[in-house]
Amino acid sequence: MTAAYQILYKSLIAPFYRQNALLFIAIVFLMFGIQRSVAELLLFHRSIILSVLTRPVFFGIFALVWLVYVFKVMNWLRIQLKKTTFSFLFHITALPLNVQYRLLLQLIILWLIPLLLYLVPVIFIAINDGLWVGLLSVIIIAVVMILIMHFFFRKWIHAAAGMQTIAARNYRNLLIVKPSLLKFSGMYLLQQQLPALLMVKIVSFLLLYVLSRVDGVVFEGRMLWLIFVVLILGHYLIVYRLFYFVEKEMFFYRNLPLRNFKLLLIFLFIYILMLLPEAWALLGVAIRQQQWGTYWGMLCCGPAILLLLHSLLYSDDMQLNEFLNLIAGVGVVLLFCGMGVPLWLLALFTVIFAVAVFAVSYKSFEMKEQVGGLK
Amino acid sequence: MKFISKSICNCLFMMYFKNVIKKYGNSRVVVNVPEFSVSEGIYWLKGENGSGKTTLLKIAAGFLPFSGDILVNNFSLKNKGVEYRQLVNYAPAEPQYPSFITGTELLQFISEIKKGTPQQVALIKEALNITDFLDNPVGTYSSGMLKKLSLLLAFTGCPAYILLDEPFTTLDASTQASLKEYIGYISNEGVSFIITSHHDIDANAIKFDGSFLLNNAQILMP
Repeated sequence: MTAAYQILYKSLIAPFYRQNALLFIAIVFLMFGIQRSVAELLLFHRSIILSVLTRPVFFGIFALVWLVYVFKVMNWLRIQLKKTTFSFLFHITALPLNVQYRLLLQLIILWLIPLLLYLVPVIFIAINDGLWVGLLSVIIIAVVMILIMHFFFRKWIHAAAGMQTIAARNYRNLLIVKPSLLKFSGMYLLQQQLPALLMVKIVSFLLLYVLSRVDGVVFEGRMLWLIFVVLILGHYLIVYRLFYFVEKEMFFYRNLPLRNFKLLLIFLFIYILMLLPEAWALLGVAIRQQQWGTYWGMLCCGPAILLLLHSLLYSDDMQLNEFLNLIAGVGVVLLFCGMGVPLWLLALFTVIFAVAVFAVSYKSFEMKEQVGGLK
Repeated sequence: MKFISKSICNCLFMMYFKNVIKKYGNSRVVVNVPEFSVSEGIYWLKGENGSGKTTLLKIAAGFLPFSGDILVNNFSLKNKGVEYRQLVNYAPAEPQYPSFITGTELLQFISEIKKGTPQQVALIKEALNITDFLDNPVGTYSSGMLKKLSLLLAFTGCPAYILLDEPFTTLDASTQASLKEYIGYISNEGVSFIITSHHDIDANAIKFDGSFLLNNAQILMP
């Protein structure tokens, strides 16, 4: 193991897995933790893999998962390489070309381990069942993604101090609206948090979409509410990051003559927009099961819950794990309330509570790291 | 350099600190100002490193929570925060903005809220030697460019008070001279300044109306 490999591993691989540990644990749990027995687990994954190898829609989902993951890794890498603390990594461009290629390839494989591990049984089943077209397709996807990663990684490493120029050139003004806190927040979510946002939205939308295809007798209304609350609370990372983006990077906004009420409305509007895919999927549930009351109630509850989470962040400068504890408590309360109180009323109470928390804690909120020495 | 008059209004402003106390944690008092007023003019806020100068400016700019109140022209920061913030602008010592937003977008945003005009912005850009880098994302800026952007934002609008935290740090010599000239100019137009600086400032470059010393959390008149 060379010194260059070691330093790159410590700088770019270990931090990536450390920062995304929660996400990986959640995915592993979803993929391997919900089946009742090993036999069921094997059957479940075998049917998924066969679908990927034989059905274009499932192959599309497989390719999308690869694409989203690669996008997430590359986005993370781009942000890391822009930091001045990582400028020393550009010294590896002084290595011979073949060494550079090998080194970068090693790192890419390490980043892709979660996907490559799943590729092993895919290849095994494809060979075993003689699904050569499917096998070729998944291998092509994997190779293309590795090549794309290699291309950009090498380009960014070679850009050296010009990394900032790349950022400038890649810059796209996605929203053609005049500059405002709303626009900056939207840009942050769509440009800086796109992989996380995509992942949350895809999982959330697909689950609700699947429910919309299932007959109403399979699950009762309480189950739908439970799933909905869990999916909404699953947006916690987006809420948390948006909150700290506004309070940290947009810190200057506190010197601007903005009314607090307007600020809260901006966040509510962002969360309404964010939940549009879920609203669309829920519409399918409502049409199929004729649960219009539940549909409108959930439609109101979604943004209200996210606004509440956002307001609760003002109550203290929380670490992510502290926020997660709080969310668990909020989730339990919402689950029980949703089963006994009409959902539109619950949405109203949630908004009132969010406004009250905001009114009480907004002005006194202070980030501990900014005041220094408290952490 | 010629500047066109930017007149704000003809009223007399005063910044009044009333029982301002800022604590970090439960016990460490950083600022303790029972009563203090800053009338119109240019003032130099002095103090050793860590004495609380930046905290005091951030409190006065409405960034940090504190107990007590600060009033400008009878607008209370606590009760009339919107009106107060319209009158007080601030440029931090180490400005930070989201890396993906362009300087132009930030400027448009601040101009709209603080009611700055294109003519005023053009003047400030000229005074601060700001070239065409504003169309690039902030992430591409050098520390000097960031400083110029933060000063441009602080001068934009119709403030009665501009709080400048180490405004000369990271600026090149010619921009420092221009900035001093511009501060003197808009001070004549009725805008007051509270400036912290560890740089020696030539009395001819900026005519200070007074200075305060922040020591042991208290403001002292030297």
